[in-house]
Amino acid sequence: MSSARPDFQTLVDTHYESIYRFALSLSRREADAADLVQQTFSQWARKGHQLRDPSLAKTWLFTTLRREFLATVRKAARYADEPPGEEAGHLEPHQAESLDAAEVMACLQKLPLEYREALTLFYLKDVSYQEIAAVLDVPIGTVMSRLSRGKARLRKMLAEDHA
Amino acid sequence: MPDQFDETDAVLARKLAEITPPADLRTRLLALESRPPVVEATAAPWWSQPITALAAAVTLALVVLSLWPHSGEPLSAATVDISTFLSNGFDLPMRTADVNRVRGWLVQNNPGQRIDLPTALARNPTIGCRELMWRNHRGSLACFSLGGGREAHLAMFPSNTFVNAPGSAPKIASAGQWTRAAWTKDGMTYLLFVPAGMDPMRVLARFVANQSAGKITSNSVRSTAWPAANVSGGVARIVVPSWT
Repeated sequence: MSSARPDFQTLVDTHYESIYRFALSLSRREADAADLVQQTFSQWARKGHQLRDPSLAKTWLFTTLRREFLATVRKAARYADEPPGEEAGHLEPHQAESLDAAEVMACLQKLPLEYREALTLFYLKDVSYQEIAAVLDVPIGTVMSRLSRGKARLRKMLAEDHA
Repeated sequence: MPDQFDETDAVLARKLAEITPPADLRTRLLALESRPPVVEATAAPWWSQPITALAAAVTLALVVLSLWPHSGEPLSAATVDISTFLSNGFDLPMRTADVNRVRGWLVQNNPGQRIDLPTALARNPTIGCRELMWRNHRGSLACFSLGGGREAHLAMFPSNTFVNAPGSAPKIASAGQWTRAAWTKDGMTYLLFVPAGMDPMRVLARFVANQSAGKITSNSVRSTAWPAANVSGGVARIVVPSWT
């Protein structure tokens, strides 16, 4: 199924807030996140017309932003992550309700990269499992595994914060 | 099924949705669409002749293939992207008016490279510097105050970043709100951006009369004085600098 190619403003208005939240969870700094979003849309302005299927624009944006981020990480080597481990966590909805957005983002940012990128996309809600797998370039089973472990660790941290 | 979207997830997703981007980000993004094209001052209108254009395209393809995998990015793309980056505002983690601190940072950020700050430019007060990542290439950006609210920005990348790195003679191009001068020295390519309407060669040569060329100012960052640009009929005629 083909869809019409969105104009630039529509694309920005539809996705830039979600893209920014993803960038913020990856880069952990607002200025870096804004730079990443700008680099991503700059690439779209230059190369977006080459995308054959306009319905993939959202996946293209998230994938491009992640690639830009990873390139920065490799070059700067300043985002050393702790190795993943098994954590169990439980957080009741009413406990989550008492947290503010900054606390949730701060805990998300403490997760190892492989968990926080999957979880952030998961919490954006309008990104499907298939799209998460495409953005992260991993099988969908890997996505499910990272979500499961990431959620457990995030909830544990948030529960500790709540306590 | 461990990853169903349960009630706690819904709350967390709602919390994250409360995080809003910087107020001016949307405006900065929309400005990306209307970026002006870069016009190289030295470019000839070969594209007006289809046969010449075709020959040029074939030649370019051959050159790119012959250089593979060492081919780099086009200088004009860097000019567009960096000028847009400058126009949209950016974070400057290291702010200092001390040119020696900027020099020290440049040495650290460019290990193994010899950075050559033009003497006249370095006489202006510095604003600061930062790392500049462009298309996976790592470079540096040093910012100077020219007075009157005007700023000059010097981007530096290893010359193999570019498939068409300029020579030692500065190449001038117009890029939206900026005029760019680009040159290569000791394996580094420099892109100096000054506000449109200013002559970058005058910025490079402003204090040349009082400078000694090639003065060593630190272990690996030195300053080079520039020859004065000859300006005729409002168009700068570039004189090849004599590097000493």
